[in-house]
Amino acid sequence: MDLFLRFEAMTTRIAMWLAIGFLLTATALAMYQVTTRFVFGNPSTWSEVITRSAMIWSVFLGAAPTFREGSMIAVEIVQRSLPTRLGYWLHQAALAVSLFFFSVVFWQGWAMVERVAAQKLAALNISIGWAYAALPVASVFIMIAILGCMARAARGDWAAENGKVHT
Amino acid sequence: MNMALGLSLAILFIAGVPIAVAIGVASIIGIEVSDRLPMVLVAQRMFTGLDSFPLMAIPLFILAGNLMSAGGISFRLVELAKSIVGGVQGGLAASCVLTCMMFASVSGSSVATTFAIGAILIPAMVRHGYPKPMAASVQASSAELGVLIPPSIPLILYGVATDTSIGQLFLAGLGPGVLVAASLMALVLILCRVRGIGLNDGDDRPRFRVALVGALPALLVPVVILGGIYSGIFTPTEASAAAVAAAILVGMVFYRELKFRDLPRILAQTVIATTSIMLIISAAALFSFLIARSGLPNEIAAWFKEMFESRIAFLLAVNILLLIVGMFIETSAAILVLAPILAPIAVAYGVDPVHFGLIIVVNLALGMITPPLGVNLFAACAVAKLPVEQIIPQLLWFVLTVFGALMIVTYVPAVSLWPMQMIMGMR
Repeated sequence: MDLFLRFEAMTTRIAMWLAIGFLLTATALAMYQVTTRFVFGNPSTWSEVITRSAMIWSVFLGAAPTFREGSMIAVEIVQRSLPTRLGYWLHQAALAVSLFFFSVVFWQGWAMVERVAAQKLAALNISIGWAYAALPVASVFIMIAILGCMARAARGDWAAENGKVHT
Repeated sequence: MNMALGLSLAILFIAGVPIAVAIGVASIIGIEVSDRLPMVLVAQRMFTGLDSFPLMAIPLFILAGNLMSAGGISFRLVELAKSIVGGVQGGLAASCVLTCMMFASVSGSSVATTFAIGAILIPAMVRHGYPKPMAASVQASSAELGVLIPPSIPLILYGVATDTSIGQLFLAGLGPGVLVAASLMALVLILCRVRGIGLNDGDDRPRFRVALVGALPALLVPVVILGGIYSGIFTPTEASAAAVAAAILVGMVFYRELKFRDLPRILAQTVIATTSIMLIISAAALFSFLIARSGLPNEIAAWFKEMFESRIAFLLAVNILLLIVGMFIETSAAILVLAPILAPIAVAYGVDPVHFGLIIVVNLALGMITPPLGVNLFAACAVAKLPVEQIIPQLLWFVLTVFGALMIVTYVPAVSLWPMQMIMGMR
């Protein structure tokens, strides 16, 4: 299990760095677009398309570290109010539901990539498939991160944290 | 299908499944039950839900807010506010309201406002003898201004979900924002006087001129954002890009408190804050599509028309509905699912869609400080290191005050629309 957790720490860190890279790309392009509109009078057309795609990549890749940090917005009050053992199982069940969800996103995202592979992004000679690929690719990182959360909870981390929070 | 959607959503929320996932899984169940819709909709709608340039303003405003907190800007704004209103009894609490108002004009999120300002002012209030629960509740309710004063993430979402001009919504947010700020300021001053708290608040405050000079570069950011939006030069997304540039300039060049080595941490925070909101937006896009397909909006519209004859009755029903929803459901999800259903009905009753957007956002902002699920309460208690149970008895007056402001915003459209029309008339 330690080996898997080390592997998960690595993939989640990679996802975070990629997400930061895409966020920076989107930010820089949005600024570039503002500049072109004001300085040159006509906004660049290609930058908006890439900005949107980069943002989508950033959001989905960011989900892996967001799960790891426990920052997914959720209503945790019931889990915390239950007796520790019961709360623990509910916590694991909620993660299992998330695992199922991202497996569906993975398969259907893959199906969308194949379906749109022939279409080009507006004003660019790039397949829309590259934008849609954010869903299946990020889902792999997310599923690993969720398994990591479940493994850490099984190791006793969840019970320990909740002992502290619930005073 | 609607029963399946609603029931599975409720169970998943209660079980503590992340909200984005809960909405997504409920949608999968809905698609499964309908057996006419293809499962590939899951990927398609989640993608197209995010594929929008106006939404790009959300990560950019979050990034700008994080850069500003790290760049020494929040501290200068606090000092400026203290120098203006800090001299009277309860001046520190009043400064908290005023600082939140200023910070709100660069931040679109109330939770971000709570962390940025609360980290400075909650300890300061406690040092000056405010009971901790009161300091936390002052902060939690003032931070609501984060989503009222433009820029505002919930207003962006309402605009995207209902095809209303985000620029106009931002202009209309000004009136309700000032109204809530003024009401809260009056409340904290009265509370301090009645309870005999905050007698020495004026002790360590800076002179106005000194504080103003110190805060001038910090004020550059709201000037760029608000000036750009109000004058019509910037679209909201462009303003958000300019805000990031201004925050970097001020933090790195003027104050030199923002260092390159801080950037990875700030960017990581931004990724996580962005993802946690945007995934909900993505899943809610899928969910709303299914709801729209199911014909539920028409049924609800027909029901409203039958139940409520007048506009006043309709708006009251909406207020009550949103108060209940706001207590239990996260703001972005509530707006994305409910706004497309309710806004057309409101228009049929003769309510201006921009005004209606403000009613929804003020209403849901109240939900941020009402238990059991008030995000601002959690944030303020996290900053104050206070168990959430202890803040609840303190909240009554704050909730009542914001509720009073909500009633005015709802039934006096001019509060939202008059400043907007004035500013647009000047262009």
